[in-house]
Amino acid sequence: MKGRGLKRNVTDALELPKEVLLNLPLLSLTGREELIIENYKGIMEYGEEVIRVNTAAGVLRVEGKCLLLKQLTSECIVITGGIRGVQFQC
Amino acid sequence: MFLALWYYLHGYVMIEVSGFSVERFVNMAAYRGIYIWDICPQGVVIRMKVSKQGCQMLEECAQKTGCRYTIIEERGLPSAIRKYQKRKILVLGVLFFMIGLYLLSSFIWIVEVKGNERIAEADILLACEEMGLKPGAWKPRVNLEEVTEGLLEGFSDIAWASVKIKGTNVRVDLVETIPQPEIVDKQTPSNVIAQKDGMIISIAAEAGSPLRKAGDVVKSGDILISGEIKSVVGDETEQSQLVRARGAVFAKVWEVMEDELPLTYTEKQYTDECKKDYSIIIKDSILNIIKPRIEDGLYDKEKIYEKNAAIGDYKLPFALAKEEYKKYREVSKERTVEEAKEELKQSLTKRANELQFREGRIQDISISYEEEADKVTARAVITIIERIDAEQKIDDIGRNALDGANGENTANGS
Repeated sequence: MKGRGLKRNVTDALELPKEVLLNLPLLSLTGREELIIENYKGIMEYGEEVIRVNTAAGVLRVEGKCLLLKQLTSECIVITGGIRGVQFQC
Repeated sequence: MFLALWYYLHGYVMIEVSGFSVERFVNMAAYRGIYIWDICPQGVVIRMKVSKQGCQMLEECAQKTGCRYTIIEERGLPSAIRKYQKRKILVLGVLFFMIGLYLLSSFIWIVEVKGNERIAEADILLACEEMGLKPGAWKPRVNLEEVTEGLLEGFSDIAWASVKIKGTNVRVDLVETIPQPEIVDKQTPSNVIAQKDGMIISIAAEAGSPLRKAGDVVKSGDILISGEIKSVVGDETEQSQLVRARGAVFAKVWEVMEDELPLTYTEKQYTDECKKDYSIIIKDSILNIIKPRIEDGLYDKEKIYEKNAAIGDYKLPFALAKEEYKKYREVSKERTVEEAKEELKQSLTKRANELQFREGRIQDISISYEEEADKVTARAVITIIERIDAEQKIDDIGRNALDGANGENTANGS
């Protein structure tokens, strides 16, 4: 844990991009139509109403209607459809 | 977006995955760098698109996660090409269409001229045609600079010209020069003569010596302002000088019009019966296939419309015309003398107002009627004040005749 704290302090002090150094997910939400998740770990659940994605910051739960995995690569996921909620689960 | 295009060009596979944990299968595939997109659940199974290379690695993923997958369809450019290899005629048709479009668009179809005011459009088009610019000319053959220069050389009234090809249209833009002022010839000696019979109201000579004065009655051809100026030097020495006589002469001119109207007349009374006739006009010949049966009776023919077929702005030499035959009866009617007079007055006034005259106006219209047994005759005398002067050149041969005429005129006046 000490090492992680040091890393955080360094990135905070130098204002470096956290998603790169801390391996945190980067979410970009366009309206309520498209959500791009970068730096994810894996898909945990996939359905039309709920998609759960595992990330370094915890499990991300995306709720909505007619959700569709538009794109899936090892770096990022693109989810489209009517997104109703984005929530981190403990 | 670009990735999708890339995979379209390389070809991709649509697969259906079923099993206990499809998520694990997708995760594993993504982890191994297989690009997966458009994942959508279809009930129990999940449908997704995978690149062709990735498809070979899926086998291992499926085995490890205990999922089953089936290939539904191969898509993308390579499979499309394979599909169309069997349809050679279709490909040939597409190719033929493209070549046709290219060939047709490499000719000039329409030449339009803009900006000409004094020069006739037909003259410019003719000049362009002589230089090779005409509808139907092959575009690379037309030398636009040559045409521009040719137009500038051929027409002295063109100050600036630009010839541009826009698609299959050619646009010739012109700017005309300022019109040159009319050169008034003051040298050639001439007389001012009367154009019409009448009574002079005013005579204003700008050059030359007036022979008549206001109130004189003149006949057509009489000299009003002479080009010969006689100056008396001393007692008897006369010197004459020939100039170009100019001036404005206003005179009262009378015009007589007659008209008659019978008291009994026939009038057309249209019935409801009406027959339609359609015909096709190809260039100048009329093709009338179905003609309506015209029985005995009186019909009036009336053209309803003529429509030209056209592709865009290009008119085709076909037209559709519609004509109507209206049946009428002749009914004889009578009118009273008063009605006839009123009608005659109206028609004569209308005719009088249609008369053309130079810088003039109608001063008075007086109509007298004459009643006969079955008709009314009207006679209108229209008094007009207008310019009656016209120019007549004095040439050397005609000079003697002029002198003689002069003498006659003075005799008349005294």
